[in-house]
Amino acid sequence: MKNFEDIPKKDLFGAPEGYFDALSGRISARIEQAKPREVKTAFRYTLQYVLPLIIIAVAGVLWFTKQEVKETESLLASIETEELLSYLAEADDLSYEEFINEMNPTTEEAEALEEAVFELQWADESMNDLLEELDNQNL
Amino acid sequence: MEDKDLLDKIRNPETLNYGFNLLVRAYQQRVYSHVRKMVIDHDDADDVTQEVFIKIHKYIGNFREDSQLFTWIYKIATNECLSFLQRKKRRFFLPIGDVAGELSAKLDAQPGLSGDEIQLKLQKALLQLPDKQRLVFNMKYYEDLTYEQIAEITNTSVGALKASYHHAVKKIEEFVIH
Repeated sequence: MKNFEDIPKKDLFGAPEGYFDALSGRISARIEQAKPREVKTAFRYTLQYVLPLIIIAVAGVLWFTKQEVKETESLLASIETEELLSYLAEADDLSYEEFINEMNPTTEEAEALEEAVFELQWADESMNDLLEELDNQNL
Repeated sequence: MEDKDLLDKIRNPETLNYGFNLLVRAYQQRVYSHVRKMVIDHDDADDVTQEVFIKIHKYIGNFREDSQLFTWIYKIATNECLSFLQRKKRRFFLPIGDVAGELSAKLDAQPGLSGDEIQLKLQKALLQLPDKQRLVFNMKYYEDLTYEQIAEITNTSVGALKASYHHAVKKIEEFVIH
């Protein structure tokens, strides 16, 4: 053998038997396996971003609603007892219903006021003082 | 089936899978042979061949038909071979010589080469070449591609390819014959 052209040309790397019959199926299977990730990504996106936003929105609505109730209670608590009594004293013939109408509260405020009044717990001595005061003013 | 018919089937969503399977069957042997000559081991060639067709499936929509389908497929296969060999070197921190040594050991284990001393010498001589030069040699010598086709696949000038092949032959003669 003197030069390169003298070397016989042989293709020595054969594939195992049946290899090419199965290859296209294996490739298709790998391509299919890669696909569901897109669906999982959309679902994961929903869980990761949309759900927390919904939770925050609901929490916000609940918090603001609670704030409104607290504000009503604060408003009622801010009325001094003396002011309330002097108002009642001036209103001789004012029934509870008329009092309520004059105040013109909203339904929620009226219910909250009634609840607040019934929840007032005065000591017996304070109650007696109040009743005496009321008697003196001929209510 | 003509390449145009294959591409029409692939571009129709209803016949995409059918068309792609036809493409695989049309080109699998050539792609496998091209890859196997570079990576030597069958299991490695199997992995790389599958990666080639998966990439084809992914990017077939980008194929503009300004070149032949075969050239485009070979370009992907060539790049995958080179990437595989680069990763092999990086993974094991092997210089080129050691990768050639590893591939040479795989050659010794190939059943088709046992008893054929001259062919074994030829293959070991090829492993001494740089990867790109070995690719060019394989495409010219074993696959009978024209320099123009190889130029399109490797994005190299015809003149540079002719020089590369000529030098490869000289090195092989030195190794095998002398």
